[in-house]
Parts: sequence; structure tokens; C-alpha cells
Amino acid sequence: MDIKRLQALLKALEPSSASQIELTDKSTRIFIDRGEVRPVDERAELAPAPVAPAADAPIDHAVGMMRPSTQKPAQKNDIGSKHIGFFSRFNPKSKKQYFKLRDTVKEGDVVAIVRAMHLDQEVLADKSGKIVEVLVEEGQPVEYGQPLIRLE
Amino acid sequence: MIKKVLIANRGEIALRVIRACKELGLKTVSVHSTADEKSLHRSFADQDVCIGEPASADSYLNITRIIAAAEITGADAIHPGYGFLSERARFSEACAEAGINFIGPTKQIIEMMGDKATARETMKKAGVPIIPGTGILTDVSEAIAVAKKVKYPVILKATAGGGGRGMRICENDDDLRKFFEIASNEALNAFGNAGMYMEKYIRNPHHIEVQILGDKQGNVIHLGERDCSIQRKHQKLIEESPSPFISEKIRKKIREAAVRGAKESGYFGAGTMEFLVDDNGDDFFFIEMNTRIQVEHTVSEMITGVDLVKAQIQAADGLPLPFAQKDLDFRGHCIELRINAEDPSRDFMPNPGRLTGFHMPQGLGVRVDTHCYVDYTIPQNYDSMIAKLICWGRDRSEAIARCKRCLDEFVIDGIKTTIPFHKRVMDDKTFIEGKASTGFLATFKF
Repeated sequence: MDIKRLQALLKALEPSSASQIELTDKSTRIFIDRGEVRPVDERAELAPAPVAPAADAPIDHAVGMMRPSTQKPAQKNDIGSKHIGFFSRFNPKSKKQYFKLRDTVKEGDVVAIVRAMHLDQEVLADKSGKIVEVLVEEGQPVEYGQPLIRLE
Repeated sequence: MIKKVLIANRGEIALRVIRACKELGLKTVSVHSTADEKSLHRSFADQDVCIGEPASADSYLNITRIIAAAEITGADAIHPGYGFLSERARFSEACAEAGINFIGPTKQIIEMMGDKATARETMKKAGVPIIPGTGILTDVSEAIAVAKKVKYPVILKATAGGGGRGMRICENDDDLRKFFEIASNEALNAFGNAGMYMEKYIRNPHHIEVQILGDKQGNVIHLGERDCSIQRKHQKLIEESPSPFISEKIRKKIREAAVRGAKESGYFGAGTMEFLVDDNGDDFFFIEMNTRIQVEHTVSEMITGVDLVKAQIQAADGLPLPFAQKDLDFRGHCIELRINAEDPSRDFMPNPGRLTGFHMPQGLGVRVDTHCYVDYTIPQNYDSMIAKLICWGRDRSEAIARCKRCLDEFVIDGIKTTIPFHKRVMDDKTFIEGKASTGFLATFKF
């Protein structure tokens, strides 16, 4: 089995709650043990909120005067943060996720919240598209302009 | 106890505060707008948060975003620097509500000093001289009676006024009779309010301010006075300590008055009491109190050896002042020259741009506080001050000679600065004699 097929297999397994799987091909036998697996949606909820933002890294001035950015580099179709606070994908009232991966959002839809000073500040999609990646962890502190969600 | 300080400012003062925090063993958080991505304060803080767009209202003046930045980084104190939010009572209050230690006075003290009438009353109570004047005048005869008491010249001002409209300087009774109605009508037309009041007019005043430092235990000391008479449109350009203009007798009186005034208002931390001294050097009058660290705090540091920002942080933390007035020594003379990105030959027009070359003067008694480096582009969104050249000498003439030597050594390429202006002032007779008043620049030919 080539590496591409293996990757496709792992990706296909991602939403599933199966913890073990065994596959036998003509010449290969694959056994995958994922330990205790929860669906993606629940996993997000369990992610511990990091206390310090990622920017808390030692400065190495040998590599230049400016502190390198710790954010993922922004792309044209990213939804960026207009607020400063802790990121969450969950609606604080309904406790449900605003979206799942590969959902399509319309411009103006609430896609997440950024919480600070006991205020839930809504993150609105500033363009329409299919969500392909969440660039920050649940509970992660985010700054102004930080890319949060990537659209296709 | 304070453990991590967020600095709600930019430029050289942000670096200045970071230095103090590091020496105290405190962690630091910088904040920046998108115009300041290449600013040095970002690099020297332990953590950094982008808070918004270049417009100050969206970043350095945005209370919600700054407090949110403190929350996500776990900063337990905020130092406001000078300018921006440093004298906003609401900011001090918002910090208190968020459980953050504001390194500056309480909302109440900022409000008290921000309101001219209340500040005057407080100073009067403490026996600090204020410019004699009146309330709203009913008629010209009342004005004449008061003018007799406070002695001419006097100045008529509109209660709703500003920008010189409704203002008249009067030398005698005839002037008052002539101008009272004219000024009152002018005020009515300009502000829709004909109310006038009158003050004694101080001709060619000297701007003398006293640095004070207090703690929450009620102790207040002074760190000497600064002479900041060389100003352009109320923007100081040169500051020095001690003042070369005032007599020893006035020096003692003005310092003591500043301490009394600060004690009366329950002040703690670093603050400045500003006075006008008349051109004879006989009388001084309180004008206002600045409830923050000032640009020119450095000259007081150089002659006393006290780190004012560290002292500010410790006072905010509730610690008593580590020294008494008698423990302070005043040594030598210090002059600060503000290097601005302005073209002095074109009426000090702002001149932002990229620094293609930058070399700072060095050597004994020299301090440069700056956020600039080679290739740095000065954003046009903010203040034009790019460096403070601070020269200490055993006496004033040595300090002046050192300033001249350093101005020659200072290389700033790519933009126009105030360096040529300072070179000329250092050779000016009135300046050398220590007699410059706030009117100095009006007659100074550049």
C-alpha cells in the first residue's frame, strides 16, 4: 500500500469513533490503534485552554531585529480576528459548534466567538466559502488581525 | 504584588518602561498597532499583542482592546506611559474594574487635577500660589476693582473660550473699559456665550515644573525642578534641571509648594506640578498638575540617580518610598534635547520617512532614549519625536558643551530633524545666559 492510500485511509477515519482497525491487503497487513477516540466535535471541547499565547517565546536577536510572528501566515481567504481574547468555536448559549469542517458559510454568518472581559465578541465571516481549516486551537488567545478560519 | 506589566504605549517610552520592568524582575507585554509592526518595543517585551489599526482610536486609545490584551496575557498591571490614555480617568477606572493595577493615579485624582477649578481650589487650600483672577464678571467696574488689587497687566478671557478669541491683554483702566465689551461680543459671536473672567497676565513667563514622587502611605518628596521654557506651540523642545533662571530662594519655595500641593491631593506615584514664574523671577503660580510620567523625566533622573519609572511601579504596588527627601543628592546639571522628525527650516513641518543611516552619540554623561534603528520607517500616524538626547555635566556649561559635541556626533540620515535647530540654540546668548522665557522661540531666528 502506498503512502497516499494510507493517508487517505487515515483521513477517512478521522470523523469515526472507531478506535482500532485492521486491514489486510495482498501483501500488507495494517493495524491502527488510536486509543480512546472521541468524535471531532467533542475533541474540540476537551482541548485545554493554553494559558500563555504562543508569542511567549524567547527572542533571538541574532536572526534579526524583529520578533518573528508566531501566527500562521494569513491567506487571502482567511477569516481574521477583529477582537482580542480567547477563541471558541462554540455558541456560548446553545453550547453547540457554530460550524463543522467542510460546512459552507455565508458572508455575515457568525463562525466563532472571541471572549474577553466577560464579553463574547462574535467573529463574522467577511466572505462566503467552505471551511477547510481552523487555524487556532479552542481556547487559544488571539490578537487583532490573527487568521482564525481558512475558507476554500 | 505586580508580576507582569502591559505597556499601553509605543516608541521610546515603551522601551523605557520595559527597561524598568526588567530590572525589577517583572515580565512585560507590549501592544502594537498594524502601523508599528516594525517597532522596537515589540521585540524587547516578553510578549506582544497586536491591538488594531493605525488610527489611535482603534489601537492605543482603545481601552477595551488594551484590557483584553492584558487579560489574554495574564498581565496584572498596566503602565500607560505618557500621552494616549495616560491621563484618562476612565482608563484608570476600567483597569480597576478589571482587577488590573493601573500604574498611575486613581480615577478620582485624575479627575480632580483635570478639572482646572477643582485643581485651583485644592492648591489654594495647600497654600500653593495660583494666578489671581475672578469668577464670571458682571461688569467692567468689577474688573477694574480686581485689577487694582492684582496689579496690571491683566488678561480678559472668555469662559467658553479657546484659540485666543475673546482674549485681551489690558495694561490699565482705560484698556479694560475699551476692551471689556469688544471681547465679550467676540466671545458671544464665537462661542454663543458672552461670559468673561479675568486673570493677572504674566508677561514672558518661564515654565518651571517640579517632579514629585509619592507613595500610598502619604509620603511625598520632590526630585527638583525642570526649566521647560523653550517651547513651540506649547510643545516643549528643550528641558533642563536645575533651572538656570530662578534664584535659590524661589527654587526652595517652589519645590516645597509642589510637595504641599501633591500631599493635599493625596497623590502617589510620579507626577509633575507645573508653574509659571514671572520674568523678574519674583513670583510663581501653579498652572496644572500632570498625573503621569513625562517625556522630560530623564533630566530629573540624571541629577538624582533615581529611576522614576521603577519608583512609579513600586508605588503602584503599595511599597513605601525607599528614600526620604534628605537622602536625595542633586548632582550637576542635565539638559534634554528633543530630536523630532520635523524640518525646522520649514516651520517644523513633520517629516516622517525611512532612516537610511542612524548613529547615536556616546561617551561620559550621555544618554539617548530612542526607538529608532537603521532602516526603521517612522510611521506618519503618531508623534514626531524620534529620540531624546540627554546630556549631564558637572555644571551647566559642561552640559551645554556636551550637548554640542553630541549633536555633532548624532547621525540621522533619510529625514529632516531638529538637530540643526538645537545646534543654533546651544550657541544662543539668551539660552547660554539661562534667561529664555516661553517667548524665546517667537524672537529666535532660524
